Amino acid sequence: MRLLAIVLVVLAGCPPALAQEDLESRLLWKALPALPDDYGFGGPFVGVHGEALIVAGGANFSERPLVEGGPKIWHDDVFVLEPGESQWKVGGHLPRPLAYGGAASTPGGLVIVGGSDADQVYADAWRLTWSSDSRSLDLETLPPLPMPMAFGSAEAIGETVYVLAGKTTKDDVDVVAKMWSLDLSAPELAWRERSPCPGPPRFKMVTAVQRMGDGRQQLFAFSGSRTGRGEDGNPTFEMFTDGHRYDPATDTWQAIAPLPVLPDPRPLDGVDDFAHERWPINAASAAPLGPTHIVVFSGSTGRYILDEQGRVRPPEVRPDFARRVLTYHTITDTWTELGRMPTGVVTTRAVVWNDLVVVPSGETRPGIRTPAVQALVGVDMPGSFGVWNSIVVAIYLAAMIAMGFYFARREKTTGDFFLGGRRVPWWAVGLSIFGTQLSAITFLAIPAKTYATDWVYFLQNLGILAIAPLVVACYLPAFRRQDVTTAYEVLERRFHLSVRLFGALSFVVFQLARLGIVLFLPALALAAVTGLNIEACILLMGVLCTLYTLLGGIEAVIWTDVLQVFVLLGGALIALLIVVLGAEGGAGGVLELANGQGKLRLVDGRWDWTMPTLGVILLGAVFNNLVPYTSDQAVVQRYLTTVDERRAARAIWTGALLSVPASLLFFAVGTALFAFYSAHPDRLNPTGPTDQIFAWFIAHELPVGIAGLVVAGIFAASMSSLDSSLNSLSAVITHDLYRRFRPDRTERHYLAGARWITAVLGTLGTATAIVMAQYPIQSLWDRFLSWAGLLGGTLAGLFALAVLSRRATTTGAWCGALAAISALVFVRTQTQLSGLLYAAIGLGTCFVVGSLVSRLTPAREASAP
Amino acid sequence: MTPERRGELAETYRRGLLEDTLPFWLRHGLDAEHGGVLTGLDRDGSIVDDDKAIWAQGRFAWLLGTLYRTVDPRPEWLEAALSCLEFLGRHGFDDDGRMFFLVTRDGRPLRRRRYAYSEAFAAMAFAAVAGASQQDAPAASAIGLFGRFVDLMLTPGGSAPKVDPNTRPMHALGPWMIGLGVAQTLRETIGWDEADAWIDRAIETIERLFVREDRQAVLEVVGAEGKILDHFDGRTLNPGHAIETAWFILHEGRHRGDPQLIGLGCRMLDWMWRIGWDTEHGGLFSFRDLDDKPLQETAHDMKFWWPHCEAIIATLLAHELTGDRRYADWHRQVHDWSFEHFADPEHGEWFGYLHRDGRLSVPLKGNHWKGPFHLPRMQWNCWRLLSEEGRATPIGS
Repeated sequence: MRLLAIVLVVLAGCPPALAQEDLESRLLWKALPALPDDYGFGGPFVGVHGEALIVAGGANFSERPLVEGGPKIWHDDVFVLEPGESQWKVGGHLPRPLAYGGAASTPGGLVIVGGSDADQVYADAWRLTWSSDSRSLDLETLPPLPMPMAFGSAEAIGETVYVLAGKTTKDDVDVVAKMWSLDLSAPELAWRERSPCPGPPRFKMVTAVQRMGDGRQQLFAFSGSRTGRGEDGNPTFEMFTDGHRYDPATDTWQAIAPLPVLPDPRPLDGVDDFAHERWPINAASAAPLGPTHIVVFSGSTGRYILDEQGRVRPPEVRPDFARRVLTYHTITDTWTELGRMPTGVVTTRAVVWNDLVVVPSGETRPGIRTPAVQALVGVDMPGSFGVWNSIVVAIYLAAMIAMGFYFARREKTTGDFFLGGRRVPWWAVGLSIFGTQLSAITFLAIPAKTYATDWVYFLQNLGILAIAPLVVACYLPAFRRQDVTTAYEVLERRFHLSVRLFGALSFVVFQLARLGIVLFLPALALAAVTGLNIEACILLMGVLCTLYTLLGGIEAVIWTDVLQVFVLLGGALIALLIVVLGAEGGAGGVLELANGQGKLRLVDGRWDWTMPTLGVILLGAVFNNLVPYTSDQAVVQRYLTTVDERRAARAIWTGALLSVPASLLFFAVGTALFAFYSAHPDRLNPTGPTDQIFAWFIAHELPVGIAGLVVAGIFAASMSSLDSSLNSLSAVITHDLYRRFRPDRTERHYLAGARWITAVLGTLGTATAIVMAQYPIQSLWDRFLSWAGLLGGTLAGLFALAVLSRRATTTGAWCGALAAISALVFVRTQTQLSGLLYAAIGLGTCFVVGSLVSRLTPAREASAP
Repeated sequence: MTPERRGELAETYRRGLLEDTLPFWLRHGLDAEHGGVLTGLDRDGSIVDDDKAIWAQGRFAWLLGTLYRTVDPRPEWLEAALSCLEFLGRHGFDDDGRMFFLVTRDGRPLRRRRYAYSEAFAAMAFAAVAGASQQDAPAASAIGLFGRFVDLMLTPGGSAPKVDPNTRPMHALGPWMIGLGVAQTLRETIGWDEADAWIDRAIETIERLFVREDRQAVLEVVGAEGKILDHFDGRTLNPGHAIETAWFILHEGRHRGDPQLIGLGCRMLDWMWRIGWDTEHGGLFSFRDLDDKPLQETAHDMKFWWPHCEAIIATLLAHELTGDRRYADWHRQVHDWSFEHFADPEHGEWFGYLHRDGRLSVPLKGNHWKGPFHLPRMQWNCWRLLSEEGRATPIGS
């Protein structure tokens, strides 16, 4: 242990060497077909409707170049590009030549607002819709803006369009700070005035919509500029570098990180003068990238508009616009320079289209546009898993198989196979109870959730402490003293065979539904970090897990759990130490940073039953723990594997007490991740899913070997979810559904049957996961699982009736169960109540209704437990 | 660009190549007696100087082999290509394996240079003939010659620099540009699988050292780590060279479908066009000073034929790749100016050297540098870019 500590300190001092990254090559670009225009446009309306990419209007110098004094020409063509097509087509025309307005893509069409032509600025608004069937463009008039707008911006959040004002007349000095919204789903369409973006009135602001860590969509606005007139009559330009975030739910703006301090993207005046400043990104284009990043392309710094004497430079001596690509990260509120774009363009709009971020046309330098359509395909993040890490994973997996073979020799009866011959040490069982609750999904999800939001879910994880006394005092005796193999036997003894079958079948349905998903979700993360393909990950885990489970039974399941708990806790601890020891100001620094950003909030004190507020969390903490600890065969089965009840009680307490430091650790890791990526936002994968952040950290920041070990632990944890399901399902099917009706076969027969069932279920789970990897059916599955999950609270209610109530009758139990299911269906379909409450509602309804009905029905069928 | 204009231009380039340039050199340049090609020719094709330039032997063989492979397998073209290659093989090499720059008509050595461009052009020649004749032996020679070029020109310490490297270390664009072009040729003719690695390295080096976003210029010579040398050499820009490099990179971007490379090539072209184009008399200057200071090169404001050939290819290719009308306009400008001033309607081919205002400076059709290369290469590339079959297959450089 001491050696390990020394190693850790040494490692923490020198994180893995940062490869010299070539910013040029990190971004993958693709050229889409160029616009069918000679010169391209400044200020076009760009958006997406249905599958089509739309570029409309815009202005250029198609008659004579600007440097020859050519006039700006406005256009009205609407160009449409459909997926897979190699050419743009002219879909139609705007009502007038128009440019420099706002464009927002909504599900119902592309909304274009404001804009100008050579004579004036307009307030008109339209909705463009493209029908790919009839290949025709439709134009619908919307209510006009309250005032004219040019060089402002439009964004859509759902069906609502937000418009930031800009210039109101052709005079650059006439700029207002205003914002309006239009809810397209409202029966009466009308613009509403909203809180304007703070700071001085300005135009050419850079905007985008993206989600926060908690999933809320917000409107982001950066930079922009203001034109004035000096005393000598010469124009003055003021460019801004601030950032703001708008929350549509509360109609409030909040200041966010200003633009980063970087070298001039275009150091024109001599090589030594690489001034580090916050460079404005006036008139840049921006779009959401991945789950929580905003990508910003180019932008005018304003540095070369005026010469040393304050006169406007002629366009021909002003340089190309910057090629810099920046990203803003909404969770850590940080900026990163991501790379360069092929051609720097401003005064256009970036949109997400078919997984590409498209930047069509735009101005490459004053007076010059390009018809090229640039598309960002993705971000190539360096780093690979490496040979040594792979070897560690291989050794770990081999060890698990060895365990399977080791315990296989001891499995003679189903008692051995399901209950480990009741000879498993209590501490191992305790670790296993904890380990079963700790799936790979939770191991990765808790830090990710804490990183993305805060600590409000923490109390939920401590609920087990509150219910452990109840479980030990009431439930454990009921399971232990009746000498059952599965929990559901208790239901038959207390009530009736039908209740047992209901319980057993509910369990089977729920577990069957989970089989695929428990392999699929971690395989996604593992595939991302190891570079293996996802099918290989699923197959590897599915086959190995089925093998050791069918060989070694519950003992293999428990002992692999033990190993996995040590590796995962150790890995989390190392991750935490590495971040904390490497952070500026150590643990104090991390806490201060996190606290300053509100990332340590433990309690949401609002009174709202639809959000994870304190009341919801407390109810969830108690009831969501009560469900597995009292009615889930995967957990209850472990109570039965110790020598006696006293030791089983110790096991339950071990698991419960372990969850306190473990939860602290996992939540702390989440906060540490936040601190780490706030300090190193460039190490984030912008397109990586937020819930894989910890996996990303493990693979990229942990030292070689340790990363392999922790990844092996994740493999093990996913397999431990599957093995528990396999073994307990096999127990319930063999015991409750087969042996109950065919009690006269030999032990050997049942054991062989149990192994066959394990093999079949393992194959089924693996196959389901592979199907999920091939076809996009996961959301369907999620829906099914959430419906099946409604049964959990009901089932726990039945056990509560069986164990806690002396008077409960079979009729009462059935009425309680049906009432609970009805209540849950109602709550789920008709209310917005938080899902954390479902267990409480199901259990509570079942217990209350069951008790009441039992009082009204004759007690003759009731028997003492 | 309208289809009519495209068709017209394609025909201009095709006829220029097959009915003017190529016959001129086959008729006047090909040496029936000693083999190889003579380039010291007067405007009517009569011999002014019968010494043989080694560059020209490789370049003419490359042209003929390439036309044989891509246009029409005419035996007389392959025959002429082999004549040049044979002359190269017999008389082009010194005892230590280095190649000469100039030999007598019958092949006796006259001059060797530090630079290994003779090797580079010979590599292109062997590769083109290997591609045309589908033989392995010349392909191996081509790869070997390219290797020697790399050792001498792209390896630090490979050849003695012009300026004492201890006092002033310098890097020049030329070797990397030639290396890039030859590697592209080796890929497209004999499918050399290591070509891409050299192409990557050349483009990376060019972009890192010579493409200066901060000055919106492509430099010709820089100091260590791309430092700008505030001297005649360091400030002298060569728009023709830079534009030639630009289209090599555009070509690479087209080959790979890589918008980053196309963006890079367009930027280089944009800047150097802006710097190099003579807004007063038209045409491209031969040299410009980075800071608009007076130049040491006395021919700085002369109009040479080859930068115009390169600019015609570069602007047309940029237009093909981006659809940007600006490039079509530039292409028309440089095409029209060149055909008006360089072309010799009386005896064919192009003059090489004009005064700034377009007046003829010397009536030569060839010398030790000018030969059957830049003009026919431009005609071949542009014809293929504009014709249907040209668009279907990548062009070779």
